[in-house]
Amino acid sequence: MSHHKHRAASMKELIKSERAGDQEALDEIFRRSRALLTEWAAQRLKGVQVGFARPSDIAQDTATRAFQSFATFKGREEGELNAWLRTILNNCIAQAHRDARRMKRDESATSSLEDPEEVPAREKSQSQTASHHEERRRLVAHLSQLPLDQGEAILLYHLHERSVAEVALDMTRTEAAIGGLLQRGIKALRRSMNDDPAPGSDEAPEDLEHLYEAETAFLSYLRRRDSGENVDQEAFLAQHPRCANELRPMLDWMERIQLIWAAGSDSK
Amino acid sequence: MLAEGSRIGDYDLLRYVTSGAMSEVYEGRRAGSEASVAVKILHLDLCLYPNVVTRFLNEALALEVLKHERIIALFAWGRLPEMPPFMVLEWLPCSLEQALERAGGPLTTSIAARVAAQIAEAAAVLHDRGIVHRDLKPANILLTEDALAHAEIKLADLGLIKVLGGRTANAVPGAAAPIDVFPLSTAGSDLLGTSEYMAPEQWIQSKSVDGKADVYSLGVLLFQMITGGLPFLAAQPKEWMALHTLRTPPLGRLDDRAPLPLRELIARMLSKKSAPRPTMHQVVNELALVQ
Repeated sequence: MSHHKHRAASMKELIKSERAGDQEALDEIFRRSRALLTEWAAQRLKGVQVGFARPSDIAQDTATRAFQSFATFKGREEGELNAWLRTILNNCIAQAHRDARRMKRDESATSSLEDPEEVPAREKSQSQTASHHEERRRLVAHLSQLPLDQGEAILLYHLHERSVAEVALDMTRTEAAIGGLLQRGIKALRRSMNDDPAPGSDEAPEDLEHLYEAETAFLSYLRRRDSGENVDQEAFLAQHPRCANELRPMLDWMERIQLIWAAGSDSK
Repeated sequence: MLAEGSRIGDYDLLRYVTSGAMSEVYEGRRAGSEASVAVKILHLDLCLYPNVVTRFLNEALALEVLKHERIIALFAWGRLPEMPPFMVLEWLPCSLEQALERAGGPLTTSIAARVAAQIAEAAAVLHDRGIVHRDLKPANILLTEDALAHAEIKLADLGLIKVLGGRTANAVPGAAAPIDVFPLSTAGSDLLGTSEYMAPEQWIQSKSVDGKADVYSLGVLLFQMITGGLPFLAAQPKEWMALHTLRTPPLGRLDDRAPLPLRELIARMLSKKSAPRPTMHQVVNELALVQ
C-alpha cells in the first residue's frame, strides 16, 4: 500500500513531507485524521440527532472539506492541524444543523410518496438529469464572467458551503470584505442570468449610509446562518426596512444558487 | 479480446497489452520483422456509435498527416471485413503517467521543463494544422525509455481532437493548412476531456475551444510535475468544473521549487480566461530558457 512508508512518521513529519509535494503524506494525514474526526464528532453530537446525518457522515464531510483545502493550512505542528480540523468540524456541524432545518422546512412543500400520481415525477429521467447538469453548467459559466474574487467567494461560500470566516481565511480578506464580495457577486450574477428586477424595486442605495446598512445587514445574516441559526427571512427583512428591497432578492438568490448546485445526479 | 496469433492486415498479434475507454491495444509484429508495433483496435461494441467510429478514423487521418518526431508514428490503419477499425502504431510501452507514479513525487525543474517543452513542441505541431488535442494528460504522453531525464516524448491518443474549420489553433503565421477529417455529429454531449486537466472553457463549451485549452492542460501537467500533486482535487465532475473555472490555483506551492520565470509562465498558462495564456509556441520558447 502506498502509505506504508509513512506509517511510522510523526504528524509533523507528514506535514513537512506534504509541503514538499508528497501526495502519499497527505493521504496518510487524512487516514489518521478521519479516526480523530469521527471520535470528536461522536463527542460533540452525543445524544443529539442532526437530521439524518450520523457523526461518521459529518466526520467524512469534514475530512473531505479539509482534504480539498489543505493548501490553505499554514501550520507545521500536530496541535495546529488539530485546531484547524476542529474549526472545520464545527462548521460542518453547523452546516448539518442548517441542512436539517431546511429539510424540515421543505417537508411542508413535499407531497406524499403515497400519492400514485406523484411517483413518476420523482423518478429522475435522463432529460431531467441533463437539464440539472446544463443548469449547473450555466451557473458556473455565469460565475466565471464575474470578477475572479467574486466568483471564488461564491464558490467557497455557496458551493463548498464554507462559513464567511473560513472563506475570509482562505482568501486572506476580512469577513466584511467577503460579505461585500458575496453581495456584489450575487447581484451581478442575478443580472447576468437574466433575472433583472423590475425597475425601481432594486435600485442602488441612494447614499453611503444606506449602502453600509445593507452590507452590514447582509453580513449579519450570513454570520447567523453560519452559526447554524435558522434565520426567519421575513423577520430579518422586517428588522431592516430601509434595505429590505435590496436584501430580499439577495437572500432568494442564495437559496437558488444552492438548489441549482445540489440538483440532480452528478455525471458527465 | 482477440486471440494471440490473430492477424490484422499484415500484422500478427503477439499479446494483449491493455484496454482503454475506446480501444484495446495489442503488441504485434509485421510478418518477417522483429520490431514490435502497437495494434489499437476499437472496441467492437462501440462500432454501433457513429461518432465514436468517426473519432477513431479521424485520429488515424490526423496521424497520417502529422508525421513528426514528437508525435506517435502511424504505420497502417483501416477496417477489415467484420472487424472494428484498427491502427498500427509505433511501439512505446512506457507512459508519462507510469513514469510519474514511479517518481512518486516532484521532478526536478530541469526534467519537468524538458518534458513539458517536448509536449509543447508536439502540441504546437497540432495547433499549426488547426488541431486542438483536448485531452493532454500523462496517460496520453508516451516515452521512448523509462528514464525521464533521457526519454524522448511522443504525443499519443488524438481521439478527442477538434479540427478548427478555416483557422488554426493559435498557429504561427505561414503555418500549414488545416487537415481534412470526417465530419462529426454536433448533437450530444459537448463535455469532452479529462477532469483533472480540463480548461475552464472546455467545461463550459468544449466544442468551441481553441489551442489555449491545451495550454491550460499542459500548465496543470507542468504544475503536477514540479509539485508532485495536481493544483486541484475533487471527488465529482461538478466540483472539478467549479475548481478549474473559479478557484485560484495554489501557485504558492511552486515557491522554492521553480525559478520565477517558470512560476510566472505556469501562472499565465493556468489563467482562467484563455486570452492571457501564452500560445503553445510561446510556451516552447519560454521553457527553452528555464531548462
